[in-house]
Amino acid sequence: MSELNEAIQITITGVSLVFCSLIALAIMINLLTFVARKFVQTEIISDKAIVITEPKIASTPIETIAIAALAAASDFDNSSAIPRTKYSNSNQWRDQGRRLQIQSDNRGLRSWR
Amino acid sequence: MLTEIGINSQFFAEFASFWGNGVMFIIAGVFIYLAISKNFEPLLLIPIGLGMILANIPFSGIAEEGGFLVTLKNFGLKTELFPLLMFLGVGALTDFSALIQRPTTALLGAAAQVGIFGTLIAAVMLPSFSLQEAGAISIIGGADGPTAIYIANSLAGDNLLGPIAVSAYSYMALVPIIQPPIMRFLTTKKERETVMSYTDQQIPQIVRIIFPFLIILLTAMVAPKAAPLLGMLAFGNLLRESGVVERLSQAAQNEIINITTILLGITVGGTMTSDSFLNLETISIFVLGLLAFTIATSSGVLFGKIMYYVTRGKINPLIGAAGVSAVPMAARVVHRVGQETNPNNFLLMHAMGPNVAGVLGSAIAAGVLLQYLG
Repeated sequence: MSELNEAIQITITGVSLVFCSLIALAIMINLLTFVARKFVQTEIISDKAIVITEPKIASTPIETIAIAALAAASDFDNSSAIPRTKYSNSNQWRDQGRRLQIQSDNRGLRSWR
Repeated sequence: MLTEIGINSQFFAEFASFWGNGVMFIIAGVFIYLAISKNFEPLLLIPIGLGMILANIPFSGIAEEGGFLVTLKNFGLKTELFPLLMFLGVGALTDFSALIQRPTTALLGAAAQVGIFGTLIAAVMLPSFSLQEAGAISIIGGADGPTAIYIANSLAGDNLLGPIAVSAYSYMALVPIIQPPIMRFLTTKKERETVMSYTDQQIPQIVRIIFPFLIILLTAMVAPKAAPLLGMLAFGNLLRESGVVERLSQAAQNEIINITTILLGITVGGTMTSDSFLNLETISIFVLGLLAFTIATSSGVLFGKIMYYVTRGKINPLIGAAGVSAVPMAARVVHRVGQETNPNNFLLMHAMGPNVAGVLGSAIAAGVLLQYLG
């Protein structure tokens, strides 16, 4: 009987601790993300593919790539819209100096040169 | 007379246990068959099955002091090294993006851990298990193999390690069979049809890098006994997210976890000799394991229903079932059950949040058990 009581006590404490800790984690993640989005102006989009200094320029990576591609195709020269591009390991697109060439994209993005 | 002809009583004792060895060979054969033909957790069931066969070869001495399976056990299980190395690999393999994007889903990962503690109470009510052993058995509800092995070894020792490990991995493999009926039973068609909106918000890299440190901070504050497990998980994840140690990250994701899986599997199989496995306790452990999975799935789904009503239908309660860990199988099951009702519903990414939160939740629950029972 005493073991059962102890088990019930552990259960109550354990469930409370697991909930409290994951709630605390959720709060910390929210705070951290908020601070990061507010103050950090540099964001690596995907696969070391592109670095863009305005995180809210687009909501999805593919849109960001499209904007970057548009900017590059329009011969933007290190403007605020596309400050710099990095190499990509993927076959989807490549940086070729100031002009960005997108070779293929399985989400339907058109090619850019 | 017998000793005169060179046959001692030990020989007879071992001869008498031949039938037990035979049964163990059959069980090992079933594991290997299920792994190969049904693809049930093959990475673990094949090494475990082979370890069982080797450990039960009469007179081989493999599973006795000095035998290589015992050497492996002393090196990797008694020291807890193998489960910790597994957690390093799991950390390097796990993408916590889904949880970071929707942190509230962590609650579902917490709710599913009720399975662990519910089973603790059920197990302690049976006369055959002590409180420590009940704690070790209850961790099956965490649906996390390395955690189950870590806790079983710490709290229950050799005798229950094999059955607990096999039970945990068996039920993880059976998630697609166990969970859907419970999920359908506890939810209405309208609830299952709920479409959750998905925005692929970018997570700043700094958040990804700091996240493992949050895990360590949380562990230190709440369940310091879980620090080895969650510390290695955080380490692996930091290797992945830092982006500057690709070689180490790849090693943790591939070579380290693969080698450890082989050694862990064969060592756990090696503990499953006929005298330690063929008894009533093993059957009880399997029944309690099923109970643990059932409670975990139910509590996750029921908490999902609470979130469904609180958010006025924005959360599909099915994703609560993914809180049992078993990454990514449980999330896939949620996705599939959701699509049965609404083929255009894509719940996979939503279910990944509670799914990875379940890994953290079960490790914290393990820390609590160690804190009180270790």
